[in-house]
Amino acid sequence: MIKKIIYGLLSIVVSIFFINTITFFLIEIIPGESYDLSYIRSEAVVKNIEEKYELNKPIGYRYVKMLKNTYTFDFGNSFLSEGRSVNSIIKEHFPISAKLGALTIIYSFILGVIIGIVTSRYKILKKISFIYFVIMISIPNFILAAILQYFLCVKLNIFPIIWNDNILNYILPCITLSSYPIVFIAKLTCESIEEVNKMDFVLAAKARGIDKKTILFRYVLKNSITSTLSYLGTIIANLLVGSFVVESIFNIPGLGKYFVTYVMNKDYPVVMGLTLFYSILLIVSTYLIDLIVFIKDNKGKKYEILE
Amino acid sequence: MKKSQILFIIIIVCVIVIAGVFFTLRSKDKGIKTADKDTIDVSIASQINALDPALSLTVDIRSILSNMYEGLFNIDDKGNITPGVATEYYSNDEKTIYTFKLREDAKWSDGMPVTAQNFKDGWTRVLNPETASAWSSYLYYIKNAEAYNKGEASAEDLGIEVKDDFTLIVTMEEPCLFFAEMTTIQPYYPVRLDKINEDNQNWDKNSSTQISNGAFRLKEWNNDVDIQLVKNENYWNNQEIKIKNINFLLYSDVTLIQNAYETGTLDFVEYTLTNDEMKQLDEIKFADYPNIRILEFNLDKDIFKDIRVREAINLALNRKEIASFMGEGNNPLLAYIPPNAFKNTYENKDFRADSLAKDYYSEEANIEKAKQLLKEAGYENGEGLPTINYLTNTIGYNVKTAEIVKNQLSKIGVNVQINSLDRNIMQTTRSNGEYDLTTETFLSEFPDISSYLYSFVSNDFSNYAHFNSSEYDEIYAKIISTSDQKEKFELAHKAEEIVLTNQVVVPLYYLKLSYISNDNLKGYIHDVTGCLNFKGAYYE
Amino acid sequence: MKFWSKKNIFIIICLIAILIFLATMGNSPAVEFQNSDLKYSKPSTHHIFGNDSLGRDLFIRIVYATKNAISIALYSILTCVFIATIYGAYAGYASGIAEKIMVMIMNIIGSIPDFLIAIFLMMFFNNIGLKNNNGSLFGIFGTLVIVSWIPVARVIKNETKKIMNNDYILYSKLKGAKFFHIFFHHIIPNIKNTIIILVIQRVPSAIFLEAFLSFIGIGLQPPIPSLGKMISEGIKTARLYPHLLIIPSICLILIILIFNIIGEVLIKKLNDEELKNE
Repeated sequence: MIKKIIYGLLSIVVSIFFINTITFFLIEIIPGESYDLSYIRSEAVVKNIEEKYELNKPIGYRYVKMLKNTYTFDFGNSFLSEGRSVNSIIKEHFPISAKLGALTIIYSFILGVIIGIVTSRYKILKKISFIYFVIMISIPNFILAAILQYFLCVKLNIFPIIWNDNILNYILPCITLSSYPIVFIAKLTCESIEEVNKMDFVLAAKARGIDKKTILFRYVLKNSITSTLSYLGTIIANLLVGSFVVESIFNIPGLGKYFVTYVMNKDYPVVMGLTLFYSILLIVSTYLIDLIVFIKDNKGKKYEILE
Repeated sequence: MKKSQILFIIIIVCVIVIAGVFFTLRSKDKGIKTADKDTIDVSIASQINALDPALSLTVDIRSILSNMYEGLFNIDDKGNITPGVATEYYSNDEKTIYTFKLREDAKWSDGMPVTAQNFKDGWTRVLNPETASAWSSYLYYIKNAEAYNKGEASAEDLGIEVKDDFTLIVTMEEPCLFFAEMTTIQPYYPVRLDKINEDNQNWDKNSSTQISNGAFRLKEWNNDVDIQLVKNENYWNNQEIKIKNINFLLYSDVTLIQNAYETGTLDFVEYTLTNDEMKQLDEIKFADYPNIRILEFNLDKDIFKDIRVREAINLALNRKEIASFMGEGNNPLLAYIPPNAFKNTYENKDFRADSLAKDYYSEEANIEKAKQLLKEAGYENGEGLPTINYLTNTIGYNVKTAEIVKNQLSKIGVNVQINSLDRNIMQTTRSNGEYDLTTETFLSEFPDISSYLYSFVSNDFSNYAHFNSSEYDEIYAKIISTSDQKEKFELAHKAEEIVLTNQVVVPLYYLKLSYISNDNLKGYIHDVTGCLNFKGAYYE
Repeated sequence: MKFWSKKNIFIIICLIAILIFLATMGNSPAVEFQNSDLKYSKPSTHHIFGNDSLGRDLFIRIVYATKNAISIALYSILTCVFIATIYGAYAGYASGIAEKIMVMIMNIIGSIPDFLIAIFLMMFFNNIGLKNNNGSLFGIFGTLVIVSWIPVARVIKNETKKIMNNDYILYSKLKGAKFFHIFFHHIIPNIKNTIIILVIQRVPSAIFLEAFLSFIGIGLQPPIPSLGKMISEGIKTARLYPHLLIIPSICLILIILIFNIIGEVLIKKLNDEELKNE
């Protein structure tokens, strides 16, 4: 058990090292300068700018410096937004993205599990929900976001357009981002409920006369949650992707909205910082989920042995 | 399913339907807000790199700055300079020494007086190689400025002398006729070095360190949300200022801006929407400040060594069609310097309307002549002519222009391959010379005619055409150092003629600055460098 | 083997034919033909879907954009599965250090958020400067392959591992069979269904990813028509010209829907056949 934890932590460190290296060289190969050439009229200015941002140092020097920065998690200041430190950018914008992400996860889980349970009970609903699922998966989230915003915010004025950090602002992006996960969670729940229903100990419980509700909550759900938990990792990864577009459309000042801008402007410090941050998030959350699943599985094993 | 469940579902569906009908039928009041009589909400920029006279680059950010600071002189939309912090100036006959007399009642927003030292501090800071300001070359008129910027001289060598608190004496590197006009642009603003030194990185973001001397001062800057300016009670002319607050809302999403304008949340929109997007909301207004779009030939490439090929391309383009495609507000450009660029020529007329001006191209294409020229050059119907590499960036209007030009040139058999790159990458590619044709946009960033002409000087960084003509260089040198207004503009016309008769560029179209605004808001101006200024604004 | 029934062979041949047809369809000049008088016109008899901001016929652009979307998705997924199968099978076949290294590589590359990789790669490919911005076509193709291959490889590896435990395989190995022999004769027949399911399942997400990247602006570059790009431009002018937004949106939703349905149907069929075989 402890060996597994240590091995896991080590692989996290190694992964981060590789991610940093790969990202660093990926930015290097993108052509272009990290600063705006528009008003520059003399070579001296170019020299001064490169000196200021340390862009004229050899690549080895910058690579080592980047590694050092990773260790202290201080990437310095953005090139594009003069003076703003990368850490302050993350501090300012991440909480909003995190709130949105957390809301989405909670909402998709609750709704997904409920839909999953309901559809596993009624056969008719299963057929209808199948159609609904296929349609919901087929609508790209950015189209859904655009349509929702157009009808509900612009035309009907139900939801606000301007960001005021109140609950109303979060509802529409949450609905958009969760449309995909809800379907998967519902499907997974439904399938695992059906699988568990066929198992012996459920039949035994039914034979003993325990009513459906208790069977559902005590035996069935506990075992099917495991598979949905492992899906959590995928959801988090998808959230990172989906948030870019949803944040731009709903004008949420989260982290994703500006990421593409920073990459396109080759803003080294911010891109390195954000990539590192996202990767750590992803790796750590995947690792934690694996750990939870592992513990659950082992707990379950003990339970079965005892039975 | 049980009966009760069915009933439940039916009730819910009914509620949803009724709600939907109700909301749709409810007439949305357009909300033409009775304007807060003292606040203007503006959408002009969305990505602010810095609010710093040395580091703010683009005209949208500099507009914000021009409401916060005031230079020695101010400039209006006709190109006339009016006293700012300075009341008057005089120079010697050779125009190599300028003396500025400052008013004694000009104050910073914290009450401290504005002194000549503040100006010296600001200009030195711009030229300091460590600041790495792109504007430093615009201060090279000052003696030893270029040397200092290159690290070959020290700050003490600069030709800026603070004779006393209210007298500033500046020595020029070469005779300069228009230095007073230059002092109206943002890099020449005064700064409070003591405040900047309190927080070198972030002084421009906090109202405690961002002390300014203009009509408005910074109240709050919420990153990526808004910049709030409030009237500067210590401004020497603050009786004239009618507006109390200006909020620059940093929206970038098109739908959001459109909706905000429709509901009255925004009073003024400029730059953040395209003309097509603005048209849907309100009638577009135009400011006289022109912006030209041209193509430049890379004269180093073999394909363009023959002047007949270049002329053929110039003649094959139907500028009228291009302008109409690009939309309302775009006009064909038939020379290089557009109309309304400089209204103060020696005849008191617009450059494009004085006695030496003429059109070099016609609006319509001259396909026969173009084909004939190609044939003479040895490329009948474009055979044998290699594909032209057309470099542009990914901004919508540039791509649109590229596609139109490609289409039109195919009519004479010329093949164009569009290479549209992201902005930064395009800039690097352009400065490396890896193109045959490239797009270029010119707007005048300082109030002198040389702003249109410097980029054809041989060793200028922005000479993307790689035009090398000693005749042109001589004329340019004379233009910026002559003290005779008449000679200056005659030479300017000559310079334009050299550029155009040598087919160095392909003028396409020019457009005026477009914006939409609340009709009750009056008194704002766009000065001749395109900066939007609300000093004289008021609501009717 | 039940799978190779006449009907299935027919379906597969049809799909391949569609692929070839799509691939060889070049871009007709009509896609780029501009007419400023027709700017933004509503659907009419001459132009069924109307015209876009440059006066180009929307119908033709949608046809070509759809063709691009489908062919890019199909090509990239096929390539991706091809590479991933070989990699995954070898990872399942190998043991010891070789396997550990291969798994580690998969984990490391897989832990970089794939959107980041997509942005970097697209920025690189978009700016190579090939003819008519075809660099972006190649870029999307490469990006989709790189981003999708790891999950596929993982599944293949797990399946292979299960097969490797077969006595059959151990016997073959004893007899001296090398990797490729085992690969073709034992592994492939058993994971055939899995591969097909993987391909089908990933096509809709490939279409989505391409539309998504183009929507943001770093996908297919003009003048190559792309549904995502058309939608992003349609949003901006939605008030006055809704047809520029609605029509591409419906089209995109439809093709993703069709592939999803094909996927579900095929999966059901394959599962039913497997159950029948058991």
